[in-house]
Amino acid sequence: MQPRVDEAGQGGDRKTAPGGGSGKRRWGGRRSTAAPYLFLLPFFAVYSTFLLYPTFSALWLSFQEAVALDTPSFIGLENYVRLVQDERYLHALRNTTVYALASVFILSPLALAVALAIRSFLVPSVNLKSFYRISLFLPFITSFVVIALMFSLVFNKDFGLLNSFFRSVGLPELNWLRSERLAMLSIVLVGIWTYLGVNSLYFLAGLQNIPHELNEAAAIDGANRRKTFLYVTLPLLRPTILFVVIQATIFSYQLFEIPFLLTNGGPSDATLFLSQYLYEVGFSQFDRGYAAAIGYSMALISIFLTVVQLLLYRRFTR
Amino acid sequence: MKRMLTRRGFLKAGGGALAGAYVLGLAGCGGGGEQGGTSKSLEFWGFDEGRVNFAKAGYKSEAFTSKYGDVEITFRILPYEQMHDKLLTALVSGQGAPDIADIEISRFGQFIKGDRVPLLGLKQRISDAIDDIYKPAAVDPWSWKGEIYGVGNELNTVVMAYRRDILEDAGVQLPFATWDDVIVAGQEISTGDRKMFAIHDLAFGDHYMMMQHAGTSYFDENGNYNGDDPRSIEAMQFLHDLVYKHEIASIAPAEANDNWAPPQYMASFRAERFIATFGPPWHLSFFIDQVPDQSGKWDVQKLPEGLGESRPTANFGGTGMAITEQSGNPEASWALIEAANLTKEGVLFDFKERTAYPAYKPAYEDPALAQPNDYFGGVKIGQLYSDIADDLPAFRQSPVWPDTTEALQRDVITPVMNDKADAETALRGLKRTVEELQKEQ
Repeated sequence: MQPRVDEAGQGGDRKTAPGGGSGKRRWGGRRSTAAPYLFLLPFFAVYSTFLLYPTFSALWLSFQEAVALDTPSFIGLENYVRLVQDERYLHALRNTTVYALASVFILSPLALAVALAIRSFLVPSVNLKSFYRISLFLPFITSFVVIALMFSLVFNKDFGLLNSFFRSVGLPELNWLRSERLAMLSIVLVGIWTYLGVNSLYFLAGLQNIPHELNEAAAIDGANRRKTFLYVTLPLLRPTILFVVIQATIFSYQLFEIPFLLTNGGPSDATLFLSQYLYEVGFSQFDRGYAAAIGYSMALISIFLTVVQLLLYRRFTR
Repeated sequence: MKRMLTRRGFLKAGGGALAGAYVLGLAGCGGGGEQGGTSKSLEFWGFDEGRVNFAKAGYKSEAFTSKYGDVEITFRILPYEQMHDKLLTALVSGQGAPDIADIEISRFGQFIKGDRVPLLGLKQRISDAIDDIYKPAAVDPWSWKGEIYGVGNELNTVVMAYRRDILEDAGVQLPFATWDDVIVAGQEISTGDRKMFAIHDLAFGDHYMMMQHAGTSYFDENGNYNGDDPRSIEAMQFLHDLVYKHEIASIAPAEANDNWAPPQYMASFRAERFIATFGPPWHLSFFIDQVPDQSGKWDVQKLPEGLGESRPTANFGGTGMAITEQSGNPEASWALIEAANLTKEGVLFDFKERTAYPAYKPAYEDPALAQPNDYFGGVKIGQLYSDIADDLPAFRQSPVWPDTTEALQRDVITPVMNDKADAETALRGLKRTVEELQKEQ
């Protein structure tokens, strides 16, 4: 058979080119084996430099005493032991967990309710649904700085939107951001405003994947809306619920900008989150080793909670 | 024989390339510092546009260009937190730091943690001018263990300012001789909508000023925590009582991300909800800029007597220029600092641009600083500042200064000013926290 000659004038018979054992290996063949790796190289270079290296470097740093510019020295697990004795760390952990619980048990059900409302009879027009989808996504893509500035005005005690409303209906004014009792609630409310829309979209996508036939079959079998939701919709939404809950948990343990900008962790640490405490230890106290240990503790907590959620999911889907 | 590029080979080659690039990168940095250097291209980092303009004026001045006309300086402005964090990171990593940097007074403590200070000592260089400056304002905040690491230009003497028109209408005898007089006057003019002072509960500044006025500071000369000194407790109790006992003050309308003078704070002065304040020149400049319609109605005086040792003033705020150990040309860097901070031309530029009263004494010979200030009722405010500047208390720096003031704000100022903690208990309780912080250094 006459080998096909390509435009570059090189043999193009794939059966005889690489691995032919003829000793006539051509540069084109060699290049073809290296090419995929070369295409991948930029990614691996960036990934190794900016993700893998810092990840392992931070792990190593967490086993060291590295304060300010002093030469770091290996101290084993001392930084991790210090975590459980550090009252501020434990306080920040409690605050972060409270926020994570609010994300899971308040934000996620609300998002599901909004998704159901958009999909159901409440928003019948297709155009209106598109409008809702866009407007729900907007808070998620708004800069945290803008959100914080906006809510600092909303929560302002003297001329804020919320207190103006309270005044107009005869309710007492509240010191939203400067009361130890209310500051965390304020942060949770901002979190709900920011993430409600995008979580609703996740649920909407999940709901769209449920075949109509199943709902129709349930209706034919005599199931009302509540039963259809409980026994058809909800079980089929489990993967979406799992995704929403896992990402809500992870985001909660990474929360930094909103409390930092709105309350700066105050008043008196009432809204101190783990990420801000890490920042304080790392950049204010300049205790890099301990800050790395805090970072790893946050990662371990997120991984642990994700595994627990996955196991629970498997158990309930059996 | 055919040689395929295996996955392992690819990873080896990639790893080798990365390691090579890293080594080359390291090899490419370094130089300068205490050993000197003659780089013609320098970098300056700042966080405030006004201050960077002040540095630029120093760069363009005759004092600098006559010596280093061939040196180019790139000026960069970064946000406050980011600039200090990046500077620290660059100094730890050994590369990427600028030649000269502005370091704010409350962030300097971070640069003296540990055994090695990554800034160049300036004591020798400044020795000729040391008698020409108000040390507590110009160099003390950037000094540590006998060495000077930075130079500031601002004389941040604290004075009291008040609305003369309102107080005179109320029949108050001015100026105030004692704090008791202030309290009586405050009770005279205070109503549900108007108070004498706005006291901060999210910032430590009011306590910091009053404790110095009372004769003490957060750290003693050996760097030990001194916040539980009886004079400090008296100052904290005094601020608390202004709000809750004498009822002549309210909590300042501020917020966490702008905890000193946000728009609502200045708006409350515009609305005459508060009619007096105490603070340094930069604080009073907010009134000139943001409450212009009250020009001529204000007056200023030294702090009244009756609190601790009753020093006539205190020191609050400031930013100093420092040379990093990575500087490629320390001599040119020093020339810039000198031209900006230690010449009449340099400091008068900042006075004219930002009303920054100079810490450089010879500048007070200039007529511009002897002019009556129209906003503050024609008072020769420059004269007042220079008269009381010799009474400025020494500034005692500490590596745990930023952490201590954060803890103070969290554990003392906010709870005490919200009437949820006792001043003495809170300040004594802070001692253990600060000692823990010091142990970790």
